[in-house]
Amino acid sequence: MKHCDRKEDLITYLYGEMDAEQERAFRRHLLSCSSCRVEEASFRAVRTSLQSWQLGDVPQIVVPLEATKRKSIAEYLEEMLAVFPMLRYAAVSAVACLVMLTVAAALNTEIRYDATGFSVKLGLFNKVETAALSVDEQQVKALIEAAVREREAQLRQEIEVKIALLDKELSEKNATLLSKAARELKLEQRLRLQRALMKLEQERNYGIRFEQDPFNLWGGVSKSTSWGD
Amino acid sequence: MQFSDEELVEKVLKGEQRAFEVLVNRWQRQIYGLALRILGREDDAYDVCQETFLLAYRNLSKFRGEAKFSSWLYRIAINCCHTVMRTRGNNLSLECQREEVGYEPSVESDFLDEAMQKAQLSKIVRRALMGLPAEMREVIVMKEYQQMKFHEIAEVLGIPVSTVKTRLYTGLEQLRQRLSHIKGAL
Ligand SMILES: [Zn+2]
Repeated sequence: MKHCDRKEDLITYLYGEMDAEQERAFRRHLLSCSSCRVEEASFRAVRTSLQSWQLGDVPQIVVPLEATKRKSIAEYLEEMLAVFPMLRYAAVSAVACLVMLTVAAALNTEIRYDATGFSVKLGLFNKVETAALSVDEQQVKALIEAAVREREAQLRQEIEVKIALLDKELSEKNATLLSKAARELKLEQRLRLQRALMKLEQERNYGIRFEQDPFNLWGGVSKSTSWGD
Repeated sequence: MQFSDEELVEKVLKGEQRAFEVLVNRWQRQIYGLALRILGREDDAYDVCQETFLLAYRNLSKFRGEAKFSSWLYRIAINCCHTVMRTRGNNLSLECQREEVGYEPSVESDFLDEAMQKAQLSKIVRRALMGLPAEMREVIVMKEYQQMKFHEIAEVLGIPVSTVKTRLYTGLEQLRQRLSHIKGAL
């Protein structure tokens, strides 16, 4: 069979990437070139064999995008406020208080917040009027604590679910790794045995002596090892 | 409505992170398949796949749309595969060593039913492919399993189209030799 140098064309033809004109021309070449004809047929057979390796189920790829994102201070604040919703009210009321105090100062008002409650003395009318709004401190505290507790429990639960999922993924990965390791170990042992056999055979045939003991398959234990005292 | 890859990239760049999940779902099978057939190990394929999408996400603003998104993604994936191959060195896995030493049990097609024969053939093909030099294997995988055009492969690998064809030719030739002694493979 004579050699043909149209390998590149053969490949282009094989994968159907010739235009109609090129293809017609190459078909004519195939009729007259047995080398290309044989090669083309054998390559088609290889391609068919290659298709026997089909992809099975593919694991869902988890891409940890969150870890790559950098948070701005505003996002951190937003997150904190989401965790402790009471902080938001605290922030709002702090601003409100500041406004009130400014106004109150202008109006010559006396505001007192003590153990008896919240009282405002309006000096504007030159007459003392006490409005006891009586906001129970204990009540507010209890509300804040309840909200924090609730949020904490919710977060704890979410975290626990995430941990369980990660655990499961890990143990699955471990299992496949272990079975793979066991298989490779078995293969390795087989290889060692096979090599030892070959050495033995050579020794028998040619009388060659080996420095290493062919039965010392796993390397570690030598003949001189004493078993117990 | 189905968005194109390029439209989805636009969305991600505008801050819609969910659009990236669509891209991952669309391409993960292709990228995983590419990595698995180049590297031959499922754990490596998974790692490469994950790393590819992470790198793509972080560098998305550098994707200018001169090439197809898939080509860009394949290019990242191939680079990740090269990194894995470098760290693993040229050591063949035990499975490949066994093939080289010639411990492959002979395939007597008469004794195997069709399904077993198919599974056996798939295994043999897998080993033959893994025994090829990486540069030939890459080209064969991209052409045979990813159905990429010659110019796409050239673009992804950054080599001339004629080099792609030469590697493909040599790869097929070597596979033919490796498979020629297997009954039923060719
Ligand atoms: Zn020819």
